[in-house]
Amino acid sequence: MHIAEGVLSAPILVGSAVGALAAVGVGLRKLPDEDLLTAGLIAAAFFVASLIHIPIGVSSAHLILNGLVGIVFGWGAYPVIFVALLLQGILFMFGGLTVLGVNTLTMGTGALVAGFVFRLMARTHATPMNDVAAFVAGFLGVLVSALLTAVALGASDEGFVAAATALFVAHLPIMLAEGVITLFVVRYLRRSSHPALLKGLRP
Amino acid sequence: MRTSTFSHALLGFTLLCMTQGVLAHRVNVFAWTQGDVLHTESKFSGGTRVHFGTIRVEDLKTHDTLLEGKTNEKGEFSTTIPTGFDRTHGLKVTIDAGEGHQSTWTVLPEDLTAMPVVTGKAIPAKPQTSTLKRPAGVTLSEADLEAIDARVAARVAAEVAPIKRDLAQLATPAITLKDIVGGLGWILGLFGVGALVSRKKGPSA
Repeated sequence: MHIAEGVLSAPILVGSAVGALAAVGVGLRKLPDEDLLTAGLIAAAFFVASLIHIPIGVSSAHLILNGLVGIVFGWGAYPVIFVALLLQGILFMFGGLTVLGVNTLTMGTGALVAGFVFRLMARTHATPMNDVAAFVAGFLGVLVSALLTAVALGASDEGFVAAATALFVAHLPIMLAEGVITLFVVRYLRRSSHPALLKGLRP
Repeated sequence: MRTSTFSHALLGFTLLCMTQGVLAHRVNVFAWTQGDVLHTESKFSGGTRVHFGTIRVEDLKTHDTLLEGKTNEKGEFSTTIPTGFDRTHGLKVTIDAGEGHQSTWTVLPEDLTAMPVVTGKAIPAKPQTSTLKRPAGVTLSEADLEAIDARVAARVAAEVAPIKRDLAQLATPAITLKDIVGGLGWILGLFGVGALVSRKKGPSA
């Protein structure tokens, strides 16, 4: 879902770059120092997830995992995603430097919303509701990012409705896949010795 | 803490392993000329063809759109090189695969101006008829020589076209394991430095 260079107009690029800078700044302030190494590992997972590609009809899409990043880090998702996107742009030529801001905002905001919803739904004690919360968060992370990407594209000549429809159709399997993956990762994190990673479940 | 870090590393490694043999997601367009024809091929890195993407051909200098078309199911689109523009400007070929996926390819002026004459209307090919030696006892008119020139040029163009296509594709390197491991190293290194700096500053407020 990376928007490529040369697609968006200058005001959107500049505006989103400023917005992303602010969001990354807030994220860095909210990211506890002791979580930095974990942030590196989650950023690494986000970085390689973009290589897991699923052909869908005439198009193609890849895993994003931003819902998981949001569950673990909340606002801290912005700097995590920013670093991963920066290196995806440099090494894989996904997206690019001029669109780094808009891509950070779309992916990071999806993560933020996913994390927020997870915190609303999840409980500290084990309950089936936690599985539902994790699935919904994984699903929502991609959905919100797709909608925001459509908004950015809609401001160019692609048109919001056309872009949103195409993105939704192309990413529906990804949303479902991410919901399931997030469910299992959250389950794993809860059962392992470090449930503190799931901040929404902290008492 | 040690168990926790090990488990995180295991999680990351599992995700990395899942990437083996998978396809990446970046759209590329390649363009090359064959005589008077411009060929294009568009695919996502990893090999998926861009079905029915929009190809736009522009004048490289003036950015005037010269023509638009759609790729077929194989991601290919071919067209006669447009007339009505200055070939010394070169061409810019853009693929718009939708959903914000876009890429461009530059056709340099020398690929257009050194183009062999096939139709007889284009710019003259460099080997002029005056340089050809006529075998003794054979009489060839200028028209015959021009016809031979055109046939040779067309044949050479056809032979060279696949090489041009392969060269075009080589110009965009695929993602290698080196890129992936290098990226992971950078990420862990950056956050590691961040953790080190924050530790030296003391506990956060």
